[in-house]
Amino acid sequence: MAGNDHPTVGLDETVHQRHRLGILTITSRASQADFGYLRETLGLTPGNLSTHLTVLEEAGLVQVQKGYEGRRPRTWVSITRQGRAALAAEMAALAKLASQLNGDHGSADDGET
Amino acid sequence: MTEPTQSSAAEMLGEMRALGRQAARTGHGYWLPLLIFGVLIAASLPLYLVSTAATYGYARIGGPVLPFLGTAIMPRYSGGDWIGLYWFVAMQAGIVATWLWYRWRGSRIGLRMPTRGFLVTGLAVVELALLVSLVAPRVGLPLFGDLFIRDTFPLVLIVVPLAVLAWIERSPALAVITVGYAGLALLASLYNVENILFRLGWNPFTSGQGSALVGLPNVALPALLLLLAGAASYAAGYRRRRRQAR
Repeated sequence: MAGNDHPTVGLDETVHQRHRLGILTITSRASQADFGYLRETLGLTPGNLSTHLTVLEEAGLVQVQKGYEGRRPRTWVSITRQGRAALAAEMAALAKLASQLNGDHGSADDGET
Repeated sequence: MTEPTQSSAAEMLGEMRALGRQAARTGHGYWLPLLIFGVLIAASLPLYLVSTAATYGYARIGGPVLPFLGTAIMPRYSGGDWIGLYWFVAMQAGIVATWLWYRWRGSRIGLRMPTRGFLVTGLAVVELALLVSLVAPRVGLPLFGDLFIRDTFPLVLIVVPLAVLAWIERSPALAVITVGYAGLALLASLYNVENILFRLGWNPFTSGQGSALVGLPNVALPALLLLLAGAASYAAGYRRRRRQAR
């Protein structure tokens, strides 16, 4: 029965990776995030960030736009509608999983009294 | 995929919420729009002084139905002032300046806020006001006169771009400022604020320019609120950046 599914069933392998989830979280708060901002905020090397972006872009969760501002190359990342939906689903699954922890603690406390 | 434990799920959830909050805080740039609209309101003060003096300190009952364009465009409602034209230009200038500010700031900090909706909504509100002000008198569209007789309805319209900004920035602080400003702007449109100040001991008629100063508080107080809120928001952001830099 769907209602009895374990919360981990709702976790998406592409999204459920700390840094990729971080990229989606940040880009969901803005229209576009710069490659440099993401790298600094998430504490990643350029190579690592590029790899994660490629995974997300291939899954259709983000769009990567490369260009120049003056003579300076800049890469802007934006979340897609599909990316927003995946982020919302992942956060809901995490919240459900985390709330189970509190529920289990509550049951354990009940048992002790 | 490795099976996440419940504690790691809670930890990751907390971490992502913190990241989201940090990104939202970094994107906050509303202090300048508050100052821009505060300055635009303050700059309109001389027009209101002239307008109020010309009518001996009383609102022109039966005056402009929608004074957004005021007398420059609708001379038959003329009270001899330029308030309408001023606001028509100033509102659009304020909205475009705010949009340009977010564009510039977004490029500088590496985080662009979705302000295209702000630009479109803000300009649409101004154009809609223009349309209503032109059409309403011709078709006898009933408008709530009390809201328009003091020529301060543009102050109420400013609530719209501020509310859109609060939504875009997901900023509870800006939402609170906007609600406070909306209250003051409505008060300024529906009531002679001078009455309140008179009870507190302020009597403009003792200054010798009484009638000209009567309308002053209706415009000055909303301007003051936005200027103070803008300055306080800038100071709070500056302190936070200093703390993070340490």
